Amino acid sequence: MKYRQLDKITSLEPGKKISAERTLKADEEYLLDHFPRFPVMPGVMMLEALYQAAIWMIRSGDDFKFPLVLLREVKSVKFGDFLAPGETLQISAEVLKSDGNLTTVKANAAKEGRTTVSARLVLERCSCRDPERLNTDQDVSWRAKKQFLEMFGPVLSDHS
Amino acid sequence: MALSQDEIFAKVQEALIDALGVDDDEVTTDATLVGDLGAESIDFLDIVFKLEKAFDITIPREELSPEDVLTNTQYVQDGKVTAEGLVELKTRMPWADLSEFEKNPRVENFGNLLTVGDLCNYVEAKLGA
Amino acid sequence: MRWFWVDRFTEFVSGSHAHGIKNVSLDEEVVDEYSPGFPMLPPTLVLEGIAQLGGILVSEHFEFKKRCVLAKVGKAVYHHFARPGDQLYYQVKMDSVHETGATVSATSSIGNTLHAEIELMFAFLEEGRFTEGPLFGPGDLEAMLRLMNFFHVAVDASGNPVPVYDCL
Repeated sequence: MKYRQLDKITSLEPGKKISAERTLKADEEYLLDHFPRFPVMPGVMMLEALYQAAIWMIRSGDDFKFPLVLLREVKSVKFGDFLAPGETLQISAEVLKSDGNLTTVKANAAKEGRTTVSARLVLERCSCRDPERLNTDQDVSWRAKKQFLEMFGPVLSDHS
Repeated sequence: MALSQDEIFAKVQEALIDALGVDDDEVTTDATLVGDLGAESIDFLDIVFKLEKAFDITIPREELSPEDVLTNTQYVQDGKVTAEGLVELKTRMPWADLSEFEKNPRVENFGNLLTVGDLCNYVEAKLGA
Repeated sequence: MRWFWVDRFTEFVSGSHAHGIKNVSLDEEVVDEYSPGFPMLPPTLVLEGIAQLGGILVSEHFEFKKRCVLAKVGKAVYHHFARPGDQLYYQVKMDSVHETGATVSATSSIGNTLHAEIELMFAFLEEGRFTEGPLFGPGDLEAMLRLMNFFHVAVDASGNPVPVYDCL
């Protein structure tokens, strides 16, 4: 997964709560441009880490039933600190409320106890909306589950 | 534009909810911005922008954060604001309730004293001027 | 790869607004591999494109002398997803400016359809905080801006071209 932002999931309550880790490596290409004299993780990549944590938390909660978990809204995002190469983010996300297919998630990431980013996310579980004959939804759901297992291993069986 | 105190409070409350990501029941008149609502320095700028927009006023930096008084050796000794300094602060910020701060006027406590009510008083003063 | 999430500046008026386009194409690794079977440009990278336009708009207002970083996202609302073949048209407007930071509001459109609405706040790092010295080396930012068509379109409020500032 390009721009994968979670190295490993440290705890998971499917559909409810998740904790994960991410260490910034010095050889990540975009560091050359961000910034040439001060290589740090771009704020949006920290936000992406929160979003990815939220997606896996939600997907594991309904066994990857929906092919897509889309970001609909992001609110109150504050970047508190920078993440330099070699530093590790502790990411956590939890569901605040569910309203049909819309889920509101509160998430943050911290390094050594100091918050680097906090945000509220609203995500929508939805279909790809392709014609039924293409079976896109099933294909994408299956691929998402495969991607999850490849990236994180048997986390689900450990925690369910 | 004559706004009632309730209208001012409602707009200030909205600005703080947006800037700080807190819930409306947390934003009470006595709540301190730093201690109770978790405001950090980056949030103060956000709050200033939102208040300027909501009330069509301009908020010069030194009106809400009297850095120059708090770092002036004439007004600060041993990390505490002197009597002279307190007079200066009161003159500069007549809308703020400094009674709590006066009990222990350590410079590092200053940032924590500002309440939602103080902000409302500040806006009211600016609108009335 | 370069950390460019805008392909080209199409319009830029100093102190006012910056417009640009981002083409979503299937050969971009992130579009293909991010969400297998459903290629799309991740919403956070749409945000980054707008942050790049906004950051440059705000930095240019201070002649690129300040160190500008993204501090907050007030809100970001996504109405659709960005698929291969889409051309995203970003329009970023400067809202409030202070010595220590600035806010911008922006939209992203795909044709006539509103794709996203985003509000951002930038902060200017004080000297000595977080890191010493500029974020870019001499010539770095100038090179990036040239590639993005910036100097070709950027004008000040009177319509005169924005100069290639010495500090770039």
